[in-house]
Formats: sequence, structure tokens, C-alpha cells
Amino acid sequence: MDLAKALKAIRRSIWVYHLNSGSCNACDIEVLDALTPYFDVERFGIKLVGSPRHADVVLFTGPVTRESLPKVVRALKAMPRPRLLLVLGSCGVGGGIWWDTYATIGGFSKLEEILREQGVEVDRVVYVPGCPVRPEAIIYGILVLLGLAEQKVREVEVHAPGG
Amino acid sequence: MLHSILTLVASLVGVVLAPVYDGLERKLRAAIHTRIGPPVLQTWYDLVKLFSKELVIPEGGTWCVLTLALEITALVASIALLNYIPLVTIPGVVGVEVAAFIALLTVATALTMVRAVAQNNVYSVVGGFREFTLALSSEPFLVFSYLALVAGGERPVFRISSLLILTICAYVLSSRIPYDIAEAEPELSAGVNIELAGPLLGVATMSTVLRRFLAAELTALALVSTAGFWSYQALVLSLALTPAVWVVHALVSILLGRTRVDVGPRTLLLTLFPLSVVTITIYGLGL
Repeated sequence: MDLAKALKAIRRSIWVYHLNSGSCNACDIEVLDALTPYFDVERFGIKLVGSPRHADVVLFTGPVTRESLPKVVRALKAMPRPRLLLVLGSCGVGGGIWWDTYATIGGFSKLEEILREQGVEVDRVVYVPGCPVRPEAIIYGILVLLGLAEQKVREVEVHAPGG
Repeated sequence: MLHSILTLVASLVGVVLAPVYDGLERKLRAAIHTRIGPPVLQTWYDLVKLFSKELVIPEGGTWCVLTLALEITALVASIALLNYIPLVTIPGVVGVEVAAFIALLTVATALTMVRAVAQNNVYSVVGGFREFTLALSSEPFLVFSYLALVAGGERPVFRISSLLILTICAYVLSSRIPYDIAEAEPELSAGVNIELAGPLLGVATMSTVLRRFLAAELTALALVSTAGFWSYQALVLSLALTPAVWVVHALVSILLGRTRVDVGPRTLLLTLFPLSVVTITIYGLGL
């Protein structure tokens, strides 16, 4: 699939689906906050939808509990391509404080492996860390995901003095 | 021939402008919320995006695709017939065109329900049955008031009473709050469209927008014909008045809140049934 062409069509009309994989609800409250008239995300064409079938971008929160795992995989499988994911919060990004507990798989990095094994391709992922993540960061993350804004954080190699 | 060309042009203009009117409605809603809101062409952007996405055929796919195709065809044909009727008919005479228009309108609603059941999703089926309840409580009155307006003759009070019924029913036909049963309940997760994705969802979205256009144009045409206009004048005036009716529909939906799902059909019956009895009495009195 030609991702650049697909992203071009989505840039003006971004339908988001909120997928909670067992978060403490702090990030979910911030997601709702970002979708209120105060931030007016509709001016970017962003709209909340109630079915993964309608979604262009999934707002993914939580460290992926074992209970939610099959439902998460099913929901992502239901999405039409291109599958775009905005992984929100410390828990979504890397499991947060739950990264090695028995009840969670430890965030999206582990889920990505499972999705690959199940043949569910994800076309692009952007990580938005924070505990909880700020609404401005969520909106900014969506714009970065679609190439409408530049990513500010860059990978920097740091060497220890004399190392 | 001229009538057919005019109908074709008017219908084409309607189909192209309907998503723009929807964009205007969203802009108006945003203005009332004191926010900027989406561009006026946002609904067109949504449709273009949906048609560019992957085609996912849901379970029960053949039936779903077939009903969706027939539904959009019935809606476009209804709009064309609505434009054609004032050009070729004489006021006061119910011809084959009027009968065909009513039949197509009813078929479009019935197809939405068939599509809902065909999707093999419990939420979609529940949404479909709710649409069915709503159609049962409004469509007979819509047909009655439309026929009354077409065949009513020179009875001003009777015409105004019928117009009132048609205005209420047309608002219900436009699938707005509190009659937007398809999206009324968050737990229904998008109601009858839950399993549709990409181009199929695009067709379903276009069908909703066209239904709204049809509702607005039907009300505009009823207003124009009640004011005494017919033929070319009626067509031009109704097309010009359609965005104004659309804005009124939008304002009503913005100002109204959501209600419990059973309240919609019940209040409709409690309003429309007595209104119809009064209208028939007025006709009997020759007013």
C-alpha cells in the first residue's frame, strides 16, 4: 500500500477511535479533554468515532492487561488500512509502573510483537509519553502522525566522557 | 426533454451541494459553541477520505453491499422525482410520479433496516429495529401530509395544517437529534453503520446527507407550493429555499437535547395522530 498517498487523503479528515487496554483512566480523561469544544479539534477535521471500522487513528491507552489483550487485537484487526496508532501515556508506551507485573503484557512494544505474529500490520506509530499525557500533546501527536507537524524530539547519541 | 434535462441538472446540483450544506451545519454548530469548527467542505473531505480507504466487506457482505447500492439509488431517484414532479404534474392531481416518489422514499427506509440486519452484528440489528420503530411512527403521516398537499386543492387551512405535519415528519426523516436513532446511543457504537468501513461507510454517509437534503427540499417545495407557486418557479424557489430549511433543521437539532430512545416515537405519535385528526376534520369542514 502507498502510505504517503493514503496519508494525504486522511490529513483533512482524521477519525479517531479511543482504545483503552486497561489504563488507570487518567490518560482517557485527557483524551476526552482533548476532544472537548475548548480545544476544538474539529477544525483539523478530527472526529471521535464509535467503531474501529470507522477509524483512521487509534488513540491507544493502557499497559495492555491480559484480560483486554484479545479484545485489543480484535479491535485493531477490524480497522481498515492504513492502520495508524497514537500510543498515549507512560503505560501505553512501555507499560509504566506495570511493565513487569503478571497481569499486563507491558505496553505497546510487547503488543507490537503479538500483532506481528497474528499478521496485523500497523502502518505507523507515534508515541506520546506522559503520566497522564497532556491534551495539547495528544493533538500534537496526531499532527505528527499524519505529517502535519514536525517532530520536535530527536534521537541524540550521548557518550560518557572518556567512554 | 427540457424537463428531463432540468431535472437532471437540479438533482446533480443537489447531490453536489448536499455535503456542502452539511459542512455549513457543522460550521453553524461550531459558531454556537464559540469555536472555529471544520471547513465548510469538511463533509466532502470525509467522503473523499472514506473512498480512498481499504474496502472491508463485513459479514453478510453481499446483502449489505446490495442494499447499500439500492438505498443510495432510491434516494437519488427520490430527489430527481421530487424535482420532476412540479415540472410535469398539475396541482391537485396525484399522478404516477407522486406514487413513485412515495414508493421510493419508503423503499429507501426499508433498505436501511435490511442493511442493518444483514450486517450480522447485534448492535446493528438493535439500531435497525429502532429505525423501524421510528419509521412506523412517522412515515405514514409523511405520506398522508404529502398526498394532502398534492391533492388538497384550494383549502388554505387544510393546506397549512398538512404543511405542519409534513414539516415535523421531514425533520424526523433528516435523522437529527432526538430522532437520530442510528447514532443515538453510545453503547450502540455507530448504530446501523457499525460494521461498515472505507468506501461502504462513504456510501452510507452520503446516503445520510442525501436524506437530509431530501427532507429540506421536500419542506421547501411544500412551502413554495402552499404559497401558490408551481412548475419552473416552484423548482427554482424550492432549490433556493433548501439551504434555509437545512439551517432551520440544523438550529433545531443544535438546540434540542438527546432524549431516551422510546421518547422519540412516543412523542411523535402523541403529536402527529391528533394533528392528523384535526387536519381530516378541517378537510371535512371544507376549510
